[in-house]
Amino acid sequence: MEWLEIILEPFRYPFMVRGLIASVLAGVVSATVGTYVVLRGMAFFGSALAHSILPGVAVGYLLTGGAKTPLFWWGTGTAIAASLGIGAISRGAKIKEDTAISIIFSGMFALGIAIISTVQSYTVDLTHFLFGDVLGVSTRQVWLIAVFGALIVFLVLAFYKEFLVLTFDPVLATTLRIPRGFFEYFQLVLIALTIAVSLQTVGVALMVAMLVTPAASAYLLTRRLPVMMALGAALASISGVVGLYVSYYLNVASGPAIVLTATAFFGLSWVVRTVRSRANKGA
Amino acid sequence: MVDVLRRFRQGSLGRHYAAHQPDAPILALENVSVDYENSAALDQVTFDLQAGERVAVVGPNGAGKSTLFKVIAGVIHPDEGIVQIYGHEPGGHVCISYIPQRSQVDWRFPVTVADVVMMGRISKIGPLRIPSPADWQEVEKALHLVGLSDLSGRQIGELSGGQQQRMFIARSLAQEAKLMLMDEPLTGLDVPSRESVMGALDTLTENEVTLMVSMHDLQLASEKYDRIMLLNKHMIAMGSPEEVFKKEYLSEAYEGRIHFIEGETGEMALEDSCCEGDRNGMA
Repeated sequence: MEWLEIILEPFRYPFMVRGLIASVLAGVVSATVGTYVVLRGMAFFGSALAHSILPGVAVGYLLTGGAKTPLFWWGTGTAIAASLGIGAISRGAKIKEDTAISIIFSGMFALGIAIISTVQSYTVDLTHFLFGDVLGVSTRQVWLIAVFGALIVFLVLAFYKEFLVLTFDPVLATTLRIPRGFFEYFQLVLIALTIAVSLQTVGVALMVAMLVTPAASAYLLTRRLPVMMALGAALASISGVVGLYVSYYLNVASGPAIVLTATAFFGLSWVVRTVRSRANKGA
Repeated sequence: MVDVLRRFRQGSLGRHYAAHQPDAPILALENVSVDYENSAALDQVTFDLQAGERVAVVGPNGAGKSTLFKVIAGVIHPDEGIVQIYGHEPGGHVCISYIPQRSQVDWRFPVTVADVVMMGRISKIGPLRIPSPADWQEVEKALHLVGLSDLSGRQIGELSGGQQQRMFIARSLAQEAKLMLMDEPLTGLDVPSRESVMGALDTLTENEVTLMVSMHDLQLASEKYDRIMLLNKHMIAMGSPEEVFKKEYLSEAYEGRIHFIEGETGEMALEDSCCEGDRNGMA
């Protein structure tokens, strides 16, 4: 087979085209928001939040009989509620923050699985929720991902200064009268929306990889925040595309293929970083 | 609605800065106490500062120096007592600059020196706006004053310890801060770096900035500062070096962890801090 043929072959299927668009969009959004997740050390929060939305999605699934578009709204609603809930709990908890978050998220996750398991054919659908089903994405969903994704990226850029100060020096944010509590919850909601947008591509169980891995790879390669965002977005998009090709030709599940590609890029970034810093030391 | 949007653009929404009372001291504390888990971190501290004064805050580790600064900056609230900046509570001022200990900063954060200095101007830029050429000029001016013009594009981790402190001093200049609180800026620095930081601090005095600096070096404190505060939970003494550095006060503050050496010109005090003076490993 010719190279061009290999590249163009999947485009014969509309579901592949939709899947490619969805994973590129989700990649850009996740990596942009993920930059702050990495810099603030919120990876565990992101992972917990993604797992916590399962019961909401499950209820939507039962009520609508598995229609795709309502599921997006159910996921979005639950993600926002869960982010604010976890945010409040981790602030006011009498026990350590990670303990509190673990209890909530594993409980919510179990509840979600329990709800879905009441349906006869649940294993197939559960797999889709857990690990993504980007090839099953509808045209309407692609539009939702595009609109919400654009909104998220716009908000991150519009409040770039505020998020930057809050992340780098929260004390300065306080002395400069930047409403810290508001922006902290705002950031949690943005992470929640990002999870809802990317849910279809990699699922709740692998979601944290989209938030963290491309942004972390970019972190290794640059010392500039805007570059880190752009590079992370590029790596995430490329991971989405490469992952889908791998999935198509090797018959591997799409979500894991995307995540494994992103992981491979991280490994490559690690090597580049190591070689570069050795070269610098040698010079 | 239009009015709200306009005020938001102007940065005045939700940010009501307190007007300075002209006759009030820049800083006044009255019986300020802070408790950490049932033990006092600060106990009944009372003093005031006039604009342009320079005070060195000395005392053993755990004396409450950082707590004192954070209370003044409005980051933590006193359990008892009143803090006033120009006659108002700290909550309404953007003229305070708190510079954390170096160990509290993430030096791998992907920002440049100029980016950090620009953070000081955020409340002047206002929300949803990008820095104007005038803001960049202020940043350049501040960097020039502390001698860092050549390094403005460097990632912050590439600077030496003294340069890092000077970067924060430049940020206070860009912020147009009136009251600056520096937490152990000299810890872990070699002698030339100390000199460069002290020189940059003189720049602040020329700009009529009121300065509180915590430090361990009693010798340096008495040489460079005309007002000394000796703190160990409560304020033991405040005044000129001659008034404060008396044997009974020092013994009380350091609780025996200080040695006195008789010399020809008088007595010399040596703090016994070799084992715990640099808990954060920056010796």
